[in-house]
Amino acid sequence: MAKIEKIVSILGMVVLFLLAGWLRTNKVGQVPAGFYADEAAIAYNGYSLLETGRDEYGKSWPALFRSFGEYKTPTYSYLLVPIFKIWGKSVVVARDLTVISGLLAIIGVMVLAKMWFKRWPVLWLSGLVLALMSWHILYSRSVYEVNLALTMTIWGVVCLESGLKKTRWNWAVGFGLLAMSIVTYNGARVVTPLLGLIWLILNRKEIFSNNNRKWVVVAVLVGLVCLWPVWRVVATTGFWERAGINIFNNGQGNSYDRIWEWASLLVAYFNPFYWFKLGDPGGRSSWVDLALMFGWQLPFIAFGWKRLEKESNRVIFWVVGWLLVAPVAASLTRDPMASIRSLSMVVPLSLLIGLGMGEIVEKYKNWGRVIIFGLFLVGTGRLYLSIFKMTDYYRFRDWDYGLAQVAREVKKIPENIPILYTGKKINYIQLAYFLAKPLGYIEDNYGRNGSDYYNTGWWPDNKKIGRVEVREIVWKEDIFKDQIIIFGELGLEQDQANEHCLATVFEIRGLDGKRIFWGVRTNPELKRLMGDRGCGE
Amino acid sequence: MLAIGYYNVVRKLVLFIIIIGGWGWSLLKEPSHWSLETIFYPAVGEEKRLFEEKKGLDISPVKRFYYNKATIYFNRYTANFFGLLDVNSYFFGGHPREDVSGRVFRPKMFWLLVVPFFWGLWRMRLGSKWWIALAVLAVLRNPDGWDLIMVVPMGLIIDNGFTNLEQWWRRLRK
Repeated sequence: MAKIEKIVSILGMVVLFLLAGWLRTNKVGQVPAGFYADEAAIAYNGYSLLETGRDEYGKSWPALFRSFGEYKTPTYSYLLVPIFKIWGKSVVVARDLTVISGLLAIIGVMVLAKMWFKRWPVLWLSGLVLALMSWHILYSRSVYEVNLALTMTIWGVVCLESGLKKTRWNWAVGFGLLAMSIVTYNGARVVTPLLGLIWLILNRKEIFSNNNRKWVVVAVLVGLVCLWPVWRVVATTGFWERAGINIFNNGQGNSYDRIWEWASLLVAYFNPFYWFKLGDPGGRSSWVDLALMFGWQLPFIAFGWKRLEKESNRVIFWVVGWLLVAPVAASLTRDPMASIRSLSMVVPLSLLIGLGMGEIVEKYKNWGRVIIFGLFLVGTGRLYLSIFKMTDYYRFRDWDYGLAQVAREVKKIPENIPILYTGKKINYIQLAYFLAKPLGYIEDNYGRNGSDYYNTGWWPDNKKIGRVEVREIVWKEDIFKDQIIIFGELGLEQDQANEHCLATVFEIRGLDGKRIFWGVRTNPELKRLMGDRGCGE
Repeated sequence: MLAIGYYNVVRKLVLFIIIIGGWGWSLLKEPSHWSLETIFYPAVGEEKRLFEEKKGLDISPVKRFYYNKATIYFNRYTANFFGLLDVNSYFFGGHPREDVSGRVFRPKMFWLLVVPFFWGLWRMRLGSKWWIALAVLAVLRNPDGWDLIMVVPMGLIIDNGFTNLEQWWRRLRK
């Protein structure tokens, strides 16, 4: 019997990871369709470091990337350096890091479930819940630092907790991982110390006992060393740039109004309407027709909440504490239910739902298993449709689809013809990434780091990537230069093309069949000849 | 003992007046239509267009399970059901979400009551009759106004929250 159970367990584990892996790796280069500017900036700077040891501004091995002036955290780009070196530069390879991170997070949550609830069904079900959580899948398929930081946080907590029972060295590893999560994602600067505080409060007697003091000192030292990139820049405005978006810094109204607004934002993170129906309203923050979790998971949260009361105070404090601190940083920003900034909530929510499902399985045995299996099956089908069939059609614009194709067209154009890109200014980074030019390509950026790299947030209006200029069009001048101009979706109408004697060189169509990029060749001589009459149909 | 009982009665009464008063005031300020029309009305316009468009995006049998004749009603129902659980609509008039659905949002209770509300969810069971009431209300096309029925369970949760807060405060002082 024990042997059969073992085989079933192993098979279950294989199925769980095949499912989690499939939902995260299948078409990862194409879904989400496009490569958003933030993703490209992280990937490009990783590539630039690999090729030159400098970022797009020419800054050597920076502790923060100035990028679009908002200062990106460094870990993801740095981890991409060896990955690009081994597997080459591509969208798939850049996203694979977050895929692996997502899978490790699932294992981490299962380990936490085993440590805290000590019941196999809860372990399996918590893992399965996270594996099929649309919220987590989204950030496990796109290049965002947050997923990496979440995995570090989960494993940091695993190490801290396991250090209480096994070797105390785990504390050092745990402190190191938690410190790294702070280096990896801005929001973790608030959430991770609060989680550390929970651990400290719960285990204060053991931590500060005479036997353990040396281990605490070692762990703190490891943590401080891992925070080294932070120490380098903590006194700069770049480090605090993201803090500027909190509502208490730039809100309107008096203090009462701001507290009211903050309370409403915070409550939204615990609102079933957002969890199960509305989701995160951002175009890049959700899948079509999917909220953050499945609606059928609501009763299991309630069952899990009820079952939690029977657990030890320690476990209750951990789960409820994590749930409460996870959205603190996110709630300080004005975006309602910012799923990216509150991603850490997926851990206590997975555990709660897993706990509730575990109750049902233990109470109703085989019937419970059948019901839960059926619900997961329904959930998997829903995920399949939304992720692989629906989202790209409606969201490809949000993900800046089409720039890889633009870069391909640019490469076909003879070298002696200058090119002007007039789409979104931020797209310069995708063009640089897909054109894969050597050092100095973003010429207007390069060399502008100076001593004030971390303080100025300088971001020029115009960019030059080799022969491609990225700036707004000046109609009176640009149509009288012999060049190719690339317009975004709303940049050029057919009437204007006729009026200015512009001839189509290439068109890139979106997934809905509409033209999203239009490359045209100017004809200065003809335009001068025709004047205001234009060139007709 | 008598004093505690008297105190509890007064507290519950004051709480009841505050909640009913706030909710009633919101209805006076912005009257509800009290419509009994259900969600089973034909789909037209954007709702129908989007549904047809989504149906056309996949041809697998999986799609039939999720996009069929019942889908529009199911979506309306779940929107209403979870809308009735929208804590922000009760305490903050729907803020921070701007209203795009046509549903009426009004702050029904004083927003600071959200603290005892969440505190009250601990060790509090919402009876099945309230879940059934929610399930029935969600069948209405616009449950606004009828959701006044929720004043009872929400009041009970808030009251439980005050009791929990009080106990917690007593333990803290010891």
